[in-house]
Amino acid sequence: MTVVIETRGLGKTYRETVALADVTLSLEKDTIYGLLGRNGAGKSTLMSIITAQNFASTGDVRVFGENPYENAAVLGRMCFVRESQKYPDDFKPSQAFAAARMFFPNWDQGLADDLVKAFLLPMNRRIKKLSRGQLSAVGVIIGLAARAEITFFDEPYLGLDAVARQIFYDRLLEDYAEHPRTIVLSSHLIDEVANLLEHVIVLDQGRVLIDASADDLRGRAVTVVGDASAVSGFTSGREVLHTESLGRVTSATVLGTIDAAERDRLTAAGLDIAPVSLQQLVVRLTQKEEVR
Amino acid sequence: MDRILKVVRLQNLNKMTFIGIPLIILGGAFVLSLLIFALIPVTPALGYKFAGGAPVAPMWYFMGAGIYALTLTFPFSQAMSVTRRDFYLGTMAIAALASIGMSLIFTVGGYIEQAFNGWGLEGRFFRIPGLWDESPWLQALTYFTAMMLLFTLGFVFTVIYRRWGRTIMLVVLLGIIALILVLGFVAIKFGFWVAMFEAIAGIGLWGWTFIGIGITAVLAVLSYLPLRCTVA
Repeated sequence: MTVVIETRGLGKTYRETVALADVTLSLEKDTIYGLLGRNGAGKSTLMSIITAQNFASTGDVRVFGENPYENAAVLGRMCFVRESQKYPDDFKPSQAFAAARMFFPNWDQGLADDLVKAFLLPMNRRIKKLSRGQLSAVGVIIGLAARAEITFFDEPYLGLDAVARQIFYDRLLEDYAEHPRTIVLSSHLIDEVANLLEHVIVLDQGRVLIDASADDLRGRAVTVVGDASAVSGFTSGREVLHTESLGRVTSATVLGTIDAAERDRLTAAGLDIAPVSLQQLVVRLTQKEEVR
Repeated sequence: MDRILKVVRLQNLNKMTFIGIPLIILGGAFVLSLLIFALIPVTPALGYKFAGGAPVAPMWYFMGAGIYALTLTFPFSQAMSVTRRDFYLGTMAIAALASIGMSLIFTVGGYIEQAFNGWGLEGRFFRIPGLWDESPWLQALTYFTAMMLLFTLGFVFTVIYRRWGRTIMLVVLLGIIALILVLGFVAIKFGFWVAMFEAIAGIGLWGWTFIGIGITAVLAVLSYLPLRCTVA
């Protein structure tokens, strides 16, 4: 696989706040990444530094093997519309798309027109008069139709209703299948995007908490449900992420995998084994990290 | 070059900013001046009717355009993956084009005004007294310079504001005002203000225009340096 983005020891400090600390990552070509984490975990900061819209305090970034800062050749192959993107005051969506068409060499006008219809976006209303969801739609349409080799979506769902969000996920996958590229999707609606993601990066307080393939992550923990004493027998000696009890029934999420023999024993003891959703795993791992 | 032209087009996607609004302001000032010319008698000492500050109205708008270019178009240009350098050059280019357009309108308007005896009212709107009489070319160059200077001033102060925050911008602004006041005070206190005014007059209109070009160029370069590390 070809690495398209590489960060080494990336750090960003604002006066006393540490936004990013020692972030070292490699992102590969033609992969959908989920950049997950709580508000203020450093997701937007990381994306804005990779796209040279912001500056790192320490460490460095390579995109397509080069420093992206003031590098038109590299920047032109990336697209990053911020969640709080500002548009010229009296711009209409049509003018924003006309601009994007000019600057992104792979821009697909047909796709943009299609998406405008799908999102019911009023083309002749000024952007500053749009609702939060419609504003998000403008950014989503630019991001998708630009077909940049590396595209960042910064919490693109804000204000979008459930139908519009599903349209976004569907169109993203559809277009990605035909035109593979590197997509970085920042989100904290983890369950919603879990099925899209091939690789997951979780930031917590500016540090990389998880950097693993989605498949790898799904097998990383398991939840066991059943009689409290049987469950505690199983969990002893394992790293427990979370337990919940209701009467005599306990549910425990533990790190690690369960092999076939163990699975049989658990079933014989009357315990149920449930997979752990990505969201559960991220939440539990983040909480565990923050307790430390 | 191609990328800089794209920024010019980006700045002009909304035709109002650099073309529409300046023309509306100019047109409005012109129509009002004509109305006033029709109502007032010729100023005896001058032998014509003068529109006063009305012709410079579009210039002041340009300071606003310099602020606007940075506060709103710069963040958008970042989303369009434009480098800070290309944004800067393209933005300065469209300001220069609009300023050239405006000074051409003043030159052509001046000749028409002259041919029709001040719109049949003996008025002077496009022919700025002193400048036009010295040379229509001087007027065009001065008008261009003044517009670019105001645009660059708006740009510089917004860059300072965005790069270092409000306090530093106010310190710079007050510092400049204080410097001028101190200079004036010293000139009066030590009695060289007459000599200073004579020297200022001695530089002449052409001289001042070239000094204006120099100041604009220095400010333009100075605004680029902080822009290189400004976060949208």
